[in-house]
Amino acid sequence: MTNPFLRRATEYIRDDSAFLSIVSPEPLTTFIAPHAKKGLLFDLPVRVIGTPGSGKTMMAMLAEFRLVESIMRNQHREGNRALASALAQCGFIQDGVPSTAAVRIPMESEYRDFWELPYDESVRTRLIFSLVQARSILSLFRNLTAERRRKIGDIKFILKDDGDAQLDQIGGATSEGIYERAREVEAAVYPIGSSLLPPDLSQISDRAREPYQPFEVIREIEISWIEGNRIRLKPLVILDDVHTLHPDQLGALFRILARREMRIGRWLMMRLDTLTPTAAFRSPDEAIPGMKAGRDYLDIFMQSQGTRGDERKQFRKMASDMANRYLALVKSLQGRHYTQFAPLLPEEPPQLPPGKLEELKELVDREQRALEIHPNRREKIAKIVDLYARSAKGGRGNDTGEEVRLAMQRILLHRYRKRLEGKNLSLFDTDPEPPKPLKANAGIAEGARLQLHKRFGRPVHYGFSDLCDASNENAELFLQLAGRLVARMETKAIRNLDPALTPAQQQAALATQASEMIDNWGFPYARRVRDFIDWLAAECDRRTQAGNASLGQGANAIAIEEKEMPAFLAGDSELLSVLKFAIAYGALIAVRNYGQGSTLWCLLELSGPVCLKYGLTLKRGGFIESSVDELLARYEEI
Amino acid sequence: MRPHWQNCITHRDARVDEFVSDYFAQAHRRCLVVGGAGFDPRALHVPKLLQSVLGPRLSALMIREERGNPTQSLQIRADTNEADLKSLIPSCSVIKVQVFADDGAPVGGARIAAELKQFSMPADLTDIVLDMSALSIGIGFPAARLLLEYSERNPELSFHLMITSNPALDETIRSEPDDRVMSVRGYAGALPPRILPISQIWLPQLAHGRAAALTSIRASLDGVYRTCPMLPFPAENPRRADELITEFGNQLSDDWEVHEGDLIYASEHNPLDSYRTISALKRRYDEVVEEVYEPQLILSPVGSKVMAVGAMMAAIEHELPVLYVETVRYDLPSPGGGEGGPSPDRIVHVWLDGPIYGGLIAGPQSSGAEAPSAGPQAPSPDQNAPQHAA
Repeated sequence: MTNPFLRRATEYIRDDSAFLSIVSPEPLTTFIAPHAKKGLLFDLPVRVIGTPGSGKTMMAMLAEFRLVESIMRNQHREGNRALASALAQCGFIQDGVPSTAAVRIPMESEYRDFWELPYDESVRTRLIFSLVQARSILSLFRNLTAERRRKIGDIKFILKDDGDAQLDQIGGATSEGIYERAREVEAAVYPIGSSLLPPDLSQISDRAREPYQPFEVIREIEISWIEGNRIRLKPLVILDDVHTLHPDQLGALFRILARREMRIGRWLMMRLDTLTPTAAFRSPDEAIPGMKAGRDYLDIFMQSQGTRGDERKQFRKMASDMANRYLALVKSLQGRHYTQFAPLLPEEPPQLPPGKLEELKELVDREQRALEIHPNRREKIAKIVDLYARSAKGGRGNDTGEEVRLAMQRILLHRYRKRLEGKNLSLFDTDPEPPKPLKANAGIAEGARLQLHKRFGRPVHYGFSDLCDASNENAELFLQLAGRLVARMETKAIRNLDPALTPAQQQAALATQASEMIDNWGFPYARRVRDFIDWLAAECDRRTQAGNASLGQGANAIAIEEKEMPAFLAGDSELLSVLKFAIAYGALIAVRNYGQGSTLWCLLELSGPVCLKYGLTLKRGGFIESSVDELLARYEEI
Repeated sequence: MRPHWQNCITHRDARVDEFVSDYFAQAHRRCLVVGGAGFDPRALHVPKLLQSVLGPRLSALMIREERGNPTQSLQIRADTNEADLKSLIPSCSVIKVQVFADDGAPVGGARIAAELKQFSMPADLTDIVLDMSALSIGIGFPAARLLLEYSERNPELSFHLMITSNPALDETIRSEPDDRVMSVRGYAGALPPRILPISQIWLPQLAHGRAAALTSIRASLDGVYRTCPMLPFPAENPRRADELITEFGNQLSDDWEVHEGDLIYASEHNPLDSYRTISALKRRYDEVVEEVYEPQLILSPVGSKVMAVGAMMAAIEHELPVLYVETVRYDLPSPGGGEGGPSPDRIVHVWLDGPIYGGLIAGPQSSGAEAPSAGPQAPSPDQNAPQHAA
């Protein structure tokens, strides 16, 4: 296998054992296990919502019975015990045996095609629901008989108490009958949706029109287990990528799945941001008429609803686990016993070479003179900076070496001069006090590092934390960025060098990877998005590099007042479509209701890869104030 | 079964002109040309050729594919082409097909099918020519299948495909892919297999600038056993295959794990080459995995139109699924002063169905089938056989 990090999606893994060797249990333990209503996850319909690459499909695949059985039967295998533990925490395993039979049904385009049929909405919905049920039953059989561990005859369906009356419509009480009936229904319904010219309603076969509701009749499944024991499983149907359905079609299907008579689990994996710009901008969820979240259905967001700090902390844990698993598959590193990924990205602060340090000193001196600032003031500023540097701790707090302190001094010199602007100064006061005292803080330190990066090429994005933060809590993006670093590590390892990458090597690899990813964007409106991003990044860079670093750590976003958003989102400008796709594909992040002073803002924040490419901060909060009109005008110019 | 497709009648370039001059000059010929009325500079080539011979015996049904927010220059080009077609062929109908639904889903296939169903065929029609030159896969493939089925229901009708190909021009047309992977309407494939594990072979046709679309398609597939990229060779530019291997280097080596022996080369000029190759692969794969796996060949002919037509024939004949990503918008830069000026258009004709195959259609499949005796002054099959590299 080549560098496993460079493989784009978990679906690429060809066989189950390869999949299990790389899959991380963290999404399960992060998003499912701590759910407030965990006990109802297999009773009520559940919407699992996440951005592309957030790990929805990986989680659905891991929960499938075929893999759960494989994990349970191979407990000696490294990593399987952790997976089993995570599955147990989520309720897929109880008392050491599987308790659910989950199947994943990819909602491919053919289901959407049913919406184009010239029939009444109820007929279209019934047809698609019959197809979903038939395929779920067939998929259950396929999962339960995988690896030829049991035969169809060994499977027994437990029906609801008064289910005898509905035996005929599901194919009888035997598993063979239920299997054959599912095949019949699939064979009858599938051609209707896939045909070029759909048949008249009257010509649809009886098999497709007859009632077929196994989801309402089936309660449990009994199968043979190890040493001849028989166990009972609760079926769970996971409909993957339901956002491909028409919104009305999805609504109709969801209402059917929310019927109380159904006792099997129903999960719907979706990218909510693909449906409407309103959803992409994370406006409060559009309610499902007549239904209430928490009572009629449950939501699982594949992104933490906590603070930004919590989100990043959670993701770092998940990413670390995932990276270590992938690293184990990189032979050149595994053979040299490198099993932990994070230590290969050291965070020791970089240092400017003596020549460049001298250049920096001269620059600060020159600007001090140009700004006509007295040496005494420079000394006072140096003391403020030194005081901050001594107290700064944690994270990048250690990165307060001489060059950072000098760059901070430079920022404070500019701020000092700015604060004196417009003030009546005495001719004899050579070192006037500013109206507001100067202060050094982490924001100014970060701003200084970003300015050093731009002016002197000093690395600014390095270390495992920066890698995770640049990934926007997206597993796939993390792997792509990490993949480039791993390729560099491999090269060093093969040359018998320490594979750990210096900050400069990390910075170069990450910036190159980010640039390539942006160049390769191929989603709708990608070129427009790229143009918009280029413009916004240049604006943010201009603000970041301003001498007084007015935004401290610099800007990485543009902001519109929240009060303008409803009208903007209800409009139909092309910019709205462009922003929707930019958000959906991880070029921008919409941060709603961001409070600054007394105003609520909607931030359009540049994503991690864009910040890597343009050398912008990964921290939130620095933004350029704008308005809808200004943004539209700018967009026209771009 | 369509055994005659193995040795289907095809013509290229000057032979097409000869064929049109001879065949359509017959006074009883009444022809309907179905084609694209969009921005593509090739939209007029085939209609002009047919009009020059058929005159008032030619009618036309031209399809204008509507996608949201086209650039102004493309809009002007499309308007000009439409006006030229209408002035060229007096009995020309133009239908507009919205490729995307209100939710952004590509639905062009269903809509063109509905339009064609409603269309009244002209009286005394003897031939239908589908000009694929300026039609996208999502529209052209369903139209071809419908017209083929119509022709097969009417034994007196002949059905032809014509493609004005220009791979160099194709490379300059930039397209933005949609974010949904779809099966082409009418090409969803045979009913998915059931209890046996599925083993898929994916045949993406590599084309310049289509990496994003092909990557999306690959990511949507579960259970791919092998990926066998199709490359154009022989080709107008003999290095095109190598250039594509370089362009798709990461995908081939890392993502798709393509083995050297899995690369498929098919002629860029002869649709039968890709048809025969895919058919042979299908037959062999079915034999190898019988009773062990459910074999499934999946096609993604997003490149050269001539090769795509061969893939389409294979998809129709063997009920193979065709996956693609619809294009949200096109862009065609104005012709600049590039090296050597514009490359010439090549034209290909494939005679898919008609009375000329009367003996073969009903008869058993046989490679040594006699040349059809029915049909007026029929040329011998595969007029360009000596030039084939298959």
